[in-house]
Amino acid sequence: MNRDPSALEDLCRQHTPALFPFLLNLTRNEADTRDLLQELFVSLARHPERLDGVREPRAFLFRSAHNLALDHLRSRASRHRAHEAAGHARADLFNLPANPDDAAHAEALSAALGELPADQRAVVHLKLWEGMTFESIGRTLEISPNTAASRYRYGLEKLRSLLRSLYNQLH
Amino acid sequence: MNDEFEQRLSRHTLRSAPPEVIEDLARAIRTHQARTELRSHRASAGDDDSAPVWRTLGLLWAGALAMLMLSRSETDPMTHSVPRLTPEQAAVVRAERMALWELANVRESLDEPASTQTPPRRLLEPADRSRTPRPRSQLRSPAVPILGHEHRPPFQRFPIESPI
Repeated sequence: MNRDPSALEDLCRQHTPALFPFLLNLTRNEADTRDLLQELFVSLARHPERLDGVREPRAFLFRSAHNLALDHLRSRASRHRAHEAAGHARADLFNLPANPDDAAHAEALSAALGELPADQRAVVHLKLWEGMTFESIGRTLEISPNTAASRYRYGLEKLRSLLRSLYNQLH
Repeated sequence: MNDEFEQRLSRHTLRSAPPEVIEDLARAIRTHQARTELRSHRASAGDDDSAPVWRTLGLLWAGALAMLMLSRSETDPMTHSVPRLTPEQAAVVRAERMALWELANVRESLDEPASTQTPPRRLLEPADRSRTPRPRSQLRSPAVPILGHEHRPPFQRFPIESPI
């Protein structure tokens, strides 16, 4: 990465559309998501040397965002757990489709994702909606591909069980 | 993507970042980049300015030190070079001076019998009654020459010893 001042802004414009729902899925709170994005890019603006030698900016940004979100979740859990529980219902993770059935399914999926542990949620998100391979997820989250695969499998099984009744009703 | 369930999940489109969020981030990035650049510019400018200031202060300090040393050596040249004498040695010196002075007066009086010149009052220590004489036991070695160095005739120097 070069240290051209406009390069960071380009990175922001290019990757924030994907980082926003990723952080929203982890934090389940839009205000916290905005704060974490601000913290991420302001930190890079203050310390541009952190981008030196970065070969995959996308993976770097997702990794940084994931670490910030985990720190945030830990501190929030220690401060007030009730806030997290209340935040689950407010996160509009998906675009609500016009079809009422699809809208109901989207809301149910958003709620079910909120039931997953954060580490499984991150892997499921990157696999299903960012199209990453387990290899790439492992590099991004600094875990082994096998760990990424097992977290995905556990997460998917839980989603399946949570959404089975709704899924059966719709089909 | 293996089964239909995963495909169905992935068909839901995620909500993207609102445009104002991206604009706020871009604005924050520009602001902090400008601040960082300004701070680094000030830091580098501060380094450049401080060098001549410190150099000038160093020169001033060295000059003041040299002036101080010079003035001390001019006004009090003998303070640090005169050996300290014990009371006995001072008494011997005093006696020798008196003898030399009297001898000089005798020679002058032989050459000029009519001369009524008296020695400078300052050199006649016994006539100096403004100070009460101290007991001999309280006498210590003088820090300055006893009779002054302006009219001191040559005499034999004594070896340096500790005052007490």
